[in-house]
Amino acid sequence: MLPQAADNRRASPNHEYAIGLTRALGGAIIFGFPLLMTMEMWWLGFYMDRTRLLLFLLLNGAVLVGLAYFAGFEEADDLKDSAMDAFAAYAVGVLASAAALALFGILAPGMPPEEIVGKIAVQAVPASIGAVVARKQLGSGGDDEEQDEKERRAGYAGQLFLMAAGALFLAFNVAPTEEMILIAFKMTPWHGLATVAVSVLLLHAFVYSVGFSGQEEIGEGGAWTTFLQYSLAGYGIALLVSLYVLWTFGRTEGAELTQVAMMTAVLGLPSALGAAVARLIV
Amino acid sequence: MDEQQRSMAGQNRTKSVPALEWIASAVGLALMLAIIGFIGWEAYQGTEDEPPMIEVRVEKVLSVGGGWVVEFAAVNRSPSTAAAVQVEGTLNRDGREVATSQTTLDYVPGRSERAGGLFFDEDPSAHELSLRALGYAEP
Repeated sequence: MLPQAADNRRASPNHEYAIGLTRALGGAIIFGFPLLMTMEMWWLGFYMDRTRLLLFLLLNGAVLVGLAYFAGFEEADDLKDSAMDAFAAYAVGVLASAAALALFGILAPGMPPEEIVGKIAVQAVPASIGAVVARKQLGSGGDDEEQDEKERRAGYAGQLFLMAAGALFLAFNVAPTEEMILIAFKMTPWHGLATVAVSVLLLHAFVYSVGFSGQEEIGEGGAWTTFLQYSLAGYGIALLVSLYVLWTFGRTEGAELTQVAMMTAVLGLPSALGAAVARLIV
Repeated sequence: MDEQQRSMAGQNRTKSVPALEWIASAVGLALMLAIIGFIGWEAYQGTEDEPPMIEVRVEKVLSVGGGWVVEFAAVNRSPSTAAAVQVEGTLNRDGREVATSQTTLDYVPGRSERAGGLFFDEDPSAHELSLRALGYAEP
């Protein structure tokens, strides 16, 4: 009786963790699916510049650690805990991507390792971010207060990080497609300016409405300060992230500066939404 | 005993890391290092300057519904990927071109091969068949 009870107690954290991993898998699949079914993503796996891909993977690792910290699905108060969660999420992301790609017949036994590893590596980025975010939302140990506390401690820099992570995630979801370039081609400069205005307004609307949940952190100095501190800063981050993602995917290659600006503005819209939504998710 | 159990449970909740977490993290770390190592090695090798080198070889000639199909494999010997690869097959007899057929492969990734087929109205095995890649676009 007694040893059994002790066993149960010992098994319980493992069990809890297993549930966490399952939700992470759910997150990886739900967030990863649109890109797993995008052919440009498969192609990027083999034709993407390897140095840029390497840089992107390292950056993804850092973003995962940061998100794992704020996720607080358990007491991830230090770097070690956050890193462990990030690695676990990465494992889930890689395995889920590999399984889905194999299921769709995108990965086949005869392919060279460069192609297989490349395809999995590219897909694992959104899948692992999905895994980390899902684990955060299950929040077995991380109650809202704890999270708010963490965000408060991280301060403004932490908020900017979250916005960047959200922007990266949403930008990444659409950046691989040809449509990004096509839209940029179709737009006149006036369309571009309008897109910028719409992006900033949407971002501000989100920031403002989200601000109500933690009013003391945000909007203390009035509407204009909020606009400058969060909405404009957020849009700046969204543009930088967009440019970075376009460069990573080789979209800026040989493109004229005005075309690059137009593409950045186009991608800046989903990025801005991602930056805004990040505050809701995390 | 109660005391002990409570302290154990308390410890479990706050401090000790479940075994599964160690395993999952270790697997994740191993995968991350493996992928970064592999791609880092590829980056170090530097593949960007070499142009694609595409050889087209005949795999099979089959007779299909009133015509023939030549199944081929386009093999890219270089590490650079080629996009929109055009493959042309010609049938010659006595030094004279009898028929040509053409198709486009979306991608032939570096050090990989992609397969395709060309249709002909004449029997390719009764002619001199030659296949070649016409060109490619950079992805």
